[in-house]
Amino acid sequence: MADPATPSSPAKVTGVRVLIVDDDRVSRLLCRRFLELAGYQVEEATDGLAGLQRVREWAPRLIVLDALMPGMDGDEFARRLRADSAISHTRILMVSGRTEPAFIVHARVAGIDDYLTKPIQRGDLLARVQALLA
Amino acid sequence: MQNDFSAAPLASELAGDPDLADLIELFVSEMPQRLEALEEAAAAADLASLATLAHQLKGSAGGYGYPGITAAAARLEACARHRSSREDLVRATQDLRELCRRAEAALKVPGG
Repeated sequence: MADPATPSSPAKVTGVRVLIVDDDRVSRLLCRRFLELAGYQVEEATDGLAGLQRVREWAPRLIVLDALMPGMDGDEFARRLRADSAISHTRILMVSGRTEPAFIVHARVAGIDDYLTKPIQRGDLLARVQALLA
Repeated sequence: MQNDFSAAPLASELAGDPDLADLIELFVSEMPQRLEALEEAAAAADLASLATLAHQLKGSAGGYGYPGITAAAARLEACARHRSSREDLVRATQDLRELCRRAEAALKVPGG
């Protein structure tokens, strides 16, 4: 099917819920802007515990999850989410500046669905999110 | 070194994107506080905090169109994690500070 949108801006979605869990405010702001411009409904949490709580209350379809946060890190977040049958179906896209293969393997074992290296670029982020929600 | 040529204002690679103009301005306007925190951590030889702060800046700057700041923050993070000499840490922090100052200068161009 022909898509009228440009390759860097996939077709607009409306109202699909995405939660951003990241302790870094400027990273959240940029990610939120990219997602909202594409039509997603976005909320934010600043740490893992608050993030898990928000997933239970708001039921997002996908989480953009930072890997390194004080307190609960991204791997622990993913393990706890997968262990809770009420929310375990939620898709997780991890974002991090870490690039070591072993780090990414650990995150995948913990339960993430996909991994994107920071700094995030608009086209990359939207393509990954769209693919995970397909 | 080639620092004589590196004093020019540093514009974001995304400066022409109207969807991001306000966010880029906010990101740059908050840089002084970030730098202050980095320099405090460096002065206190708090390498764990320094690595964390540098890691955050590495992760965000490129997304705002400043890959040079991401690269400089990555060098500082590596210095902190590998417990490099104090001299190396100071140099890496100064490089980062200079890039941030140039980014601020680019937003203050007269007539803008």
